Formats: sequence, structure tokens, C-alpha cells
Amino acid sequence: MKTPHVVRDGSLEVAMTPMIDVVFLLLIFFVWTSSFEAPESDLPSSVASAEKPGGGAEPSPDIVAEAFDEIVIGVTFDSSGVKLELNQQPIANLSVLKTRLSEILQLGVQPPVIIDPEPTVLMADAVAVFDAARTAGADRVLFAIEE
Amino acid sequence: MTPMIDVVFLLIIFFLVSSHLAKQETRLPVELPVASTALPNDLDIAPLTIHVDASSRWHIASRAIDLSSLRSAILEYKASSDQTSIRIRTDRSVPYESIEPLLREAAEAGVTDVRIAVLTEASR
Repeated sequence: MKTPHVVRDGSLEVAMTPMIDVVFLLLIFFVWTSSFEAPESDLPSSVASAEKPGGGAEPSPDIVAEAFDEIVIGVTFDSSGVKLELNQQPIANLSVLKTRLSEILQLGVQPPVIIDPEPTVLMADAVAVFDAARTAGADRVLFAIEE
Repeated sequence: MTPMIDVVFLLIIFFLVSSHLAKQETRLPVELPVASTALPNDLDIAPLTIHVDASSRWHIASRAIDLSSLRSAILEYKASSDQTSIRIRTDRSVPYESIEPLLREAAEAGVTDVRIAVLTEASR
């Protein structure tokens, strides 16, 4: 049987320079092609327009009477921060809002939840309220627009 | 060998830099709001993306627009595409009053699918 013939020319040095070239090229390539931006997602949303003049901000008494027809969450903004109202009752914070909404939804109804931010409310807060309503399990969450 | 590697290397750097710049043009850098219940991007639909920068200016395809050109842009988009969806990339520090006209115009044009681009909490 023939044994493989191994050429040993005495130099045991590995050629480093070509390897460094290639590694460097690969490094540059991946650094440039990688994106450091966080991936974006979409919040599905839709629009509820106020049918009556004056806007959806002021539900009339007969709407309060049939409270599960729709849930209007008012968001107002002043110096002390963001204030929430659930069908015109003040709500302390977002987690209270979440528990209240999920209590309502546990009754088996699925009313549209309408977020009605004041014009000065920042989108970060409006989206946080929107997100809280979706976290509570509401299917249809809408932003209110005033005609 | 070395001069060739130098040249190839330079060319690669050039193309990567130029492609990177071309990509950045299409995307206005804004601080998106954060939400936890967002859906991943649906790549099948081609939404009309409206950017709202931190000083509340509206942009479509990096062109600044006002209310009347917004209306015509939405109608034009609706006529040209069968799936109509509007995607709003807004800065989180923009007040709601600058978003409301977009929502109203969309609703009046009959586009009910309005999405708001957000960052998910995991990706922050």
C-alpha cells in the first residue's frame, strides 16, 4: 500500500496576509450590510368619525345609558401629564385602564374602543393608550377624528 | 496580487457606501412610538407611507406635502392600487392634531386601513 506522500519543504509558516485580506473584506462587508435600525411593525388601526357635530368627545346622555355600544377613551394632556377618561369617568393610569377594559370585555361583548386624544396629546401617549386597549383584548380600536 | 486586492477592495467599499446612501434616502429618520401588540409588516401590501417628522411636517416619498396635495396624493394612490392601505410613520413627539388630518383625509377618500408604524418593545 502506498502511503500519501507529504511534501515538507521545511517552512511551517502559515501565509497570514491573504487570510487577513479575506477576513478584513468579510468584516467590512458584514458591517456595511448589517442594519442597526430596529425592525418596525404596524399597528392596525382605523378611523371613527363623529357622526354628530361637536365630535365624539362629548357623548350625549343616551350614549352613556347604553354604555357598551362603544367605549370612548378620552386622552387629555396638561402640565401634570396625561389624563385618561373611560366614557367620561377619570382613570388613574394605563394599567387601571387595562384592567377596566378587560373586565368589560370579559362580559362577552366586543364594543369598538374609540381613542379620542386631545389635539395637543403626543402620538407616543396616544399610541400607548391604543396599545393598552389592544393588550386588554379589544378587537376594534379606532382613533376618533372630529369633522 | 496586492494591487488587484487593493482595487477590488476599493470598488467594494464604493458600491457598499453608495447603496447604503441610496437606501437611506427612502427612509426619514423618525423616533417611532412604541407598542407591544403590533403585527409584523405585511409585505404583500404596498401601502402609501406618509412620514411625519418631529416638527410635524408631512412627507410622501421625501416630498413635503400640505393638506391639498395630501388629498390628491391619497386619491391618486387609491386610483392606482387595488389594495389601499396607508401607513403613517410618525415621530413620537408629534401632537395628535398633526395626525388627525391624515386620518380624516384617509377616511374621506375611503381608505379604512390606516396603519401606524411602531417599534415593538422587544426591539427597543
